[in-house]
Formats: sequence, C-alpha cells, structure tokens
Amino acid sequence: MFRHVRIKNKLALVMTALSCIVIGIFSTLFYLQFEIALKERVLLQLSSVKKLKVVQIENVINSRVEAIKHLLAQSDSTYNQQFFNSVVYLKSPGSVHINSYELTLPDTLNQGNIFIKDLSPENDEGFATLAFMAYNSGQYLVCIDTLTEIQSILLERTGLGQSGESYLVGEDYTMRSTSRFFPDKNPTTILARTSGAVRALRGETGEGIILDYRGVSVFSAFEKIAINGLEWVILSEIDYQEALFPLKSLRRNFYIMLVIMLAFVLLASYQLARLLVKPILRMEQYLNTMSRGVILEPQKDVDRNDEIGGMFRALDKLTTALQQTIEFAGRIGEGNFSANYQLLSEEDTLGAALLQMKQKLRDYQKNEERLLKENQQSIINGEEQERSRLSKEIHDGLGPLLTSLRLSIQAIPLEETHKKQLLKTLDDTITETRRMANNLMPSVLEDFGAGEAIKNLVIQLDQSSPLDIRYNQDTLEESKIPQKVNIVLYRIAQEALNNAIRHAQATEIRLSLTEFDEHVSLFISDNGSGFDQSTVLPGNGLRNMRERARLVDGSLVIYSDANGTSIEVEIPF
Amino acid sequence: MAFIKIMIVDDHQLFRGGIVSLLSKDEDIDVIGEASSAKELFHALKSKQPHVVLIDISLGETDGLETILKANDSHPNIRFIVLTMHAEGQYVVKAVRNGAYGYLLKNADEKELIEAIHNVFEGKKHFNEEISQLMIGNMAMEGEPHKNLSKREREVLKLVSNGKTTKEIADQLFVSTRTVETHRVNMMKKLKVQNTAELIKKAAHLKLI
Repeated sequence: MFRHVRIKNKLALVMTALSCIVIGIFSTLFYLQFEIALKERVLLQLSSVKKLKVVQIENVINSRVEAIKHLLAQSDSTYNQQFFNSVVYLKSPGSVHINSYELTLPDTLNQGNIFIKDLSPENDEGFATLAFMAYNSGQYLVCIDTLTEIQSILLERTGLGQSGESYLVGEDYTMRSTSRFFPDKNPTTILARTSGAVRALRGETGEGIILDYRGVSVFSAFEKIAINGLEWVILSEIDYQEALFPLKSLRRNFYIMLVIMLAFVLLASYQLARLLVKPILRMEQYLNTMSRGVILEPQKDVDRNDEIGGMFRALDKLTTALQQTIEFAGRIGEGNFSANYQLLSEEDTLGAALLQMKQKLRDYQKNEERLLKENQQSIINGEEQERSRLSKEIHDGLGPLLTSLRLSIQAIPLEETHKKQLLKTLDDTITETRRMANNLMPSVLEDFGAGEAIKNLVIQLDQSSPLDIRYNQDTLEESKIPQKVNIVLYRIAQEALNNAIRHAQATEIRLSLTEFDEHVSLFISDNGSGFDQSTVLPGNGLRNMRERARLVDGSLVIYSDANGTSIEVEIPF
Repeated sequence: MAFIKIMIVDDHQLFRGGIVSLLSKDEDIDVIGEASSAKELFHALKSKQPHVVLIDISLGETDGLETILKANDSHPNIRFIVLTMHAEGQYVVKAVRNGAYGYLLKNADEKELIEAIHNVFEGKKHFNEEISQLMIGNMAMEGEPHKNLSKREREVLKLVSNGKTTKEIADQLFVSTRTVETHRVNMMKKLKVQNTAELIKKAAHLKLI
C-alpha cells in the first residue's frame, strides 16, 4: 500500500509521523514530570497548611491547659469566664452531670495531671467541645469549653484554593469541625473514616491522594494531634480535580500546541518533501525522455553536494557517456569504421557490443571490399588473360600461316612485279597482324616486363609523331616486378600517353619507370591543356587507371592544371 | 656438294616445310634435320652435327632464346640464327646476348635468308639494317651494370650535390618528387649515412660524384 504512495507524500508522512512521535514523547515526558512536580507541590503546600493549623490548634488547646494550671494554682473566677463555658470543682471522681454533658472522671487522675476528654459528639451543634479534668490536693476540677477558635482556624482557607479545606476528625471518625461542603450539617454526624484519618490515628504523619469522606478523590495531608489524652486528627485536603487544574490547562495548551505544530510540521514537511522531490521528479522526466531515445544536454546547473547532486552528476555522466556512445554509433552508421571509442568501464556492455558491431561491420566491409576487389581483379585478369591468349593466337597461329604463305609465293614462278605486289600486300597483312597482336598484349610485356614494353611504346610514338617524348627507364636487370603489376603499369602508361596526345594535345611528354626494392613508381607528365578532375568525362580511362592501380593496392595521384598534367603511380609488390 | 648443314627448329610444320623447300634451291645448304621443340632439337643433336640452326623464339612451351644459351654450353660449335616474327629490340638484344649469330624476321626475303646462313657459316654475324636499328634503339636506353649505386641514383646524387631541390631533380629526371625522395633514402641506406650532408660527403669520398 505504502509503495504506491508518491514519494513526496511518503516523505511528508514520515516526517510528520516522526515529528508527532517526538512531540508526543517529549510532551508526555514533560507532562508526567510536570504532574509529579505539581503533585509534590500540592502535597507540600497541604502539609505546610496542615502544620500551621496543627500549631494553631495546639496553641488553642494548650492555652486552655495553661489556664487550667493557672486555675489549679489559684481559683480566679474571671479567668474562668474568659476561657471556659463552665468550671466545676468536685470532691470525688465518678460520673458527673454538667450542662447536659455526661462524663465520668477517671480515678487515675494524679496530682497535677490534666486529662482532656472530647465531648463534641454530645454537643447539640456538634461543635468541638472539650472537657479538661484535673486533680489537685483532694479536689477535682472539670472545665468544659466549646473551642470556637478552632472552627475559625480551620475555616481560614488560605492556600487551599476553591475546594480545599482543613478539618478535624475525632477518635470515632466523625468530624469535629464544620464541613465546607455540608456547612449546615452537624459535623459529628459526618463519618470521615478515610484512609488518611485511619492512618493518622495510628500515629502516622503523611500525605497522599485518597478518597475523602465524600468519596471524592483528594490530595490530603494528615497528622494526629494528641494532647493529654485527646486524640484528634487534622486533615488538610484539596480536590484532586482542582489541584491538578494547571495540569488540565497544560494539557489543553499542549493539545493546541500539538495541533499548531502538527499543522506547521505538515506544511513544512510537505514543502520540504516537495523541495526534495522536485529534482527527483525532474530526474524522472529526464529519464523518461531518455527512455524515449531523446538524449538531453547534460545538466550544468547541479552544484549540490548531497546525494541528489550526486544523482544528477551521475545522470550527467550517463548522458555524456550515452552521447559519446550515440556519436560513436552514428559514426559507425555513417560507415566511419575508423571511429574510436573508449569503453566507459569493464562492464560497458553497450559500448562493447558497439565495438563488436563495428568490428563485425568492418570485417564485413573488408570482406566485401576484398570480394569486390577479387571480382574486379578476376575480371581484369580474365580480360588480360584473354587478350594474352588472343595475342598469342594471332601471333603464333596466324603469323606462321602468313609467313608460310609468303614462302610459298616466293617459291612460285610469277612475273616479278606481280610477285612484289603480292608480297607487299602479304607483308602489310603480316605487319597488321603483328600490330593487332601487339595491341592486344605485347609479347615484350610478358617476356621483358613493363619497362621494356613502355620503352617500345615510347619509341613507336617518337617515330610516328612529332612529339618530344622522353622516357627514363630505371628497372633492374632482373626485374622483380610481378606480371600483374607489369600489366597494370603498361596499361596505365598506355592510357596516360593516349590522354596526353589525344585529349590534352601535349607536345612534350616525360615519363619514367623506377623500380625499387619493394615498390615501383611510374611518373608521366605532359605540357597539355590539363583537365578538371571533377568534371572530366568518363571514358577517357581515368577511372580505369585508378581502378587498375587500386586493385594491386597501388596509389595513383593526378595533378592537372592549364600547364599540363602529371600522374604519379606507386605500386607495392 | 652441299657443305652447310643446317637444322630448322619451329613449331609450325608448314613453315618448316616452306623453309626447307626454299633452301633446297641452294646447293651449298643441306637441311639435315627439323625439330618442333627444344627437346626434339637436343635429341636430334645427339646423332647429327649441323653448322647452323635456324630457330624460332616461340616454340610453344619452350623458348628459343633459352635454347640457344643451353646449346652454346653443350654444342659450342653450332651457330644459331633466330628466325622469328618478333620485331622488337628486346628480343634482338637477348638473342645477341645469348650468343645468336643472326636475327631474321620471318618475312625476310629468301635471298637474305640464304645470305645470312652463308655469313654465319663463315663465322660472321648477320644483323641487317632493320634489326641493327632495333638493337641500337634498345641499347641506347640500356642501364649500366648495377654497382653499389644505380645509374639513376648516381644521377640523383649528382644533382643533390649540385644543390638542386627535389622538385628540380624530379623535373629534370621526369620522375615524381616521391621517387626522388625514395632514391635519396635508399642511397642513405646503402651508404649507411643519416642525412643528405653526410651522403654527399661520403659519396665524394667514394668518388661516386
């Protein structure tokens, strides 16, 4: 599924997901840290509030205890009024009835001992009411007082927020101070057997998150107040909900932040992805066009140093290499088999294939050339052989018959002028026959080589026309020129002389044949009118000359202008 | 009484017959044999000793001129007259070199043929005007015997030493400039020198120029 998502979206997705995870983890950690810190702080605050209250309450109770001590030392009625609702002196211990309170004096009271008893449950309003009992030199003292300051101390709710309260709990787990939540209820009817209260009564001082008497989750700090037999528990509590309200708002802020961040990350990552992907898309385009066989000019504007830059540089290399390859292939296509190509690497299969193709084509071409050459050679050779055969036929077949005839005529007794005429005609015939044989293929060419045959040609021309013709023959005594080369040289010389005289109206001709160790050079120059090689008409044998030279791997170069023509032939053997 | 014994070597029987009947008119000449090839000639020479042999150049497979050379070794007393259709100087020269005493064309008159046989029998060489011309025309262009440097090479060397340029030399000898260069390189190789200056020095030292 993910494979079909476009890379841009993939990147954006991945980046967003990563950001989400990171933000999530950090937020959670922060949140948890914050929660822990917050809870600690709340509990600390509660403890300190509770501590303050404890001190204040202990002060209140202790002030009564001091007053009792004072009373024991000296009875002062005004003092009584100030501190206690009622003060009663008794002679003996046991049950006593004071102001609707029933109480029993314990007989364990010793001299100077003050014993406090909690009478709150018997108070109509359920106010914190205490009985202070003491014994002094034969008489018992009982003071009862409703400690109203305690209520006000507890109602002082500084540092306890909206839902916080401090309250007292007695040994019977009912409350000894007015509940904030049920202000009209008698506190002693409210049971507060919470784990905090239980633990505090056991003597623990501590704090924690517990369920309070309403069953609501609260932060609570609790401590036991134990003075002269009185055992109260004080709890300072604040609703869990309220205490952690900052956490809530933090969470909300987090959510808002998260949304903003997400939006930002999404946008940013999308943009970034687009930026990252853009060159990739461009690359895709390039590759697509390339796959259509269009090789674009290599990119020159890639100067990034990252992987994408690398990718483009690689593409650059690829296109350059491809262009080289294409150029090479094109050159091969044009038939330029001398084109060179440097393999791009060991594994350049395309290049290797092209090189192989070039080799094959070259071989093919060579082979074709060879075949063509062989064909042409065999044609020319065949022609020359045929000429040679014909020449010999005429020379050796017709010649002797004619000469025999001549002998016969000579032997016949005829009138002298007749005989002379006959013999003249016969001699002409013989001469003509020899000329024909010679034209076909001079026997001298076969028996003495091109040097001599050309010499005869020159002598013949020299005698038959007013030409200034000179020939420089520089062949070896034992000429090593092969017969087929001899024939080529002779035919070219024949053709060139023919052109010089017939077409160029030359009056001076110079020619030379020079034999070297492994090549022979024929040079013919004239002072004729010259010709333009590009517009020269076929049939003057130029092509024929070139062709003959080529077939024996020779070179033929012609220089021609208004001052004349020179032909240089070089043939290796 | 015929005293000139001759043999005729020609691969055409008709022609041989013609010659035989022509020569039979002359009392001094006695045709003692005929042959159509060198092989037949040498076979006949085992039993007969002619003074003069008329021989054609083209004898089918064999070459008359080579035959003369061979026969001169084995039968030095026999004198050969070449009787051929070939009217080219090269053949004449080769015939002379191979030791032929005469050279006649097959369309020669009977008078000349008989005259030639007589001359040769007497130890004279017989080459008429026409044949001499052919020979001389050919000789005129003959090269000298091959020494260390060829004639042409020495010509080139002389021109080089006279300060002629390659082009000038080529024009003078009517060869291509490449040929002149090749000559120059070949001479340097032959005389084992590295450059033209050294070539001229060494050539002067060897009295080649």
